[in-house]
Amino acid sequence: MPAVRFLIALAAVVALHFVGARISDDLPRLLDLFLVMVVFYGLQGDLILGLAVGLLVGLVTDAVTGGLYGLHGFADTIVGYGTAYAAQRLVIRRPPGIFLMFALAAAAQQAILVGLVVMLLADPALPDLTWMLIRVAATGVAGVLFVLIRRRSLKRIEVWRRSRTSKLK
Amino acid sequence: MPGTVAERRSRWLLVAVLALQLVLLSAQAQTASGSSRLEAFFVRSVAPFSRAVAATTGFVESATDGMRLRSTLEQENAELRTELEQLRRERVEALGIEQELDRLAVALDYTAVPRGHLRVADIVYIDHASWLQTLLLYVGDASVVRNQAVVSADGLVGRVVVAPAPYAKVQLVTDRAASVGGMVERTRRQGVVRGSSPGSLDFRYVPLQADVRVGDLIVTAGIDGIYPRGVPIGKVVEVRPGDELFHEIRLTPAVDFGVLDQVYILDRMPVPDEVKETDPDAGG
Repeated sequence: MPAVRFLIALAAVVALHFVGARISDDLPRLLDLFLVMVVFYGLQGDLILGLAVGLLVGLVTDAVTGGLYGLHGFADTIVGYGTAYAAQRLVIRRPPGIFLMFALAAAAQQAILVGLVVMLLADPALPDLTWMLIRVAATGVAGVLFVLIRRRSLKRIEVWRRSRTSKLK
Repeated sequence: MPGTVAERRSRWLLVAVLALQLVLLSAQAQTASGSSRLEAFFVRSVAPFSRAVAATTGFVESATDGMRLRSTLEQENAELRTELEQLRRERVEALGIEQELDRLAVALDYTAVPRGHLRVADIVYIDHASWLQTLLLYVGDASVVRNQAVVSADGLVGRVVVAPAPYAKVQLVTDRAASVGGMVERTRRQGVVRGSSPGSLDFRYVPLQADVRVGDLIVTAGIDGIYPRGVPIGKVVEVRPGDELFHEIRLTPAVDFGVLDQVYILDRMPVPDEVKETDPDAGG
């Protein structure tokens, strides 16, 4: 069941990415929804899960972008694993902490990508620093919003379930 | 660093996965080939989503178009009729020139490179926002192979880099890793066109003594085994003397990638890599 849920979430992220790209050229550059998904799974604190999700989602990201195949696969594997490692050692519940995790993950991903491109390509194309900073901030905000909305929705569902059970009793 | 057995195992797994990916990435970087079975699998998996999004937005756009005012349509119709008339005249002139060329070719016993046919393909996703620029085409059952040229009515778009049926991934000419043999249409001076900063191109290896001016049209030279001769690549917008022996020439692409929704795949087969890489001294 968790695997099915993961695949549905991945399909939704892919569809959202394409919709975003249709709306504006700058949207995929502004926000990496795939990374939000990687960090979200990483925050569950399972190292293997973080690694596997990072690898798979990264390879899907590579499929929708150009260049060397596996760049995002490599970067997102590290980010997924790193997030899970941090989540095991830190209590991340409050919005500033969540924001920091997502933003740091985005910064780390960008740094790894730049490092890889510089290392592997003779004439690398480097992203604009301003766009990188905007992307880091946007990923942080998107991550916080997603986690908070999800938390609130789960709480409402739980309240509704409890009230329904008590009525049945 | 101490840790539980599970943690240590996961660390080794991470190292193994990263090492494997690094090896694959290095291999790709060395061969300059972005295509692999793994990539083909993932492209095939995600492409239906982009096709669905493209179809939905296409439906919305056509519905909006359908609601346009009649006067706008009448005006557009008149403009299109004028354009059609002009194109018909140009076609007749071009046919005359083509026949004359054919007669000359026969007289000189000249074997021309086959021109090939153009096949229309719908774009389902275009990625010109990230640093590395590609687009995804839906090609259906048609057989498409790596290195087939992709053009639009305005000029050169790029080349197919991976073709997991029914999709084909195209590397845009503006991608930093793309290079095309080009020439100045006015003087026939050859050079190499490379992708540059987003939305622009560099025309390299043109000697300082060569005559290149702002406004010159750069077309494909047909010397790279992939692209046919004479397809517009871009216009010169800046010419500066470089540090070494060559000009620094900046081009603006002939194609506006922001408005593309259909392209043409050239059916002419590219020169196989093994033929291009044959050693002339090897004999045989």
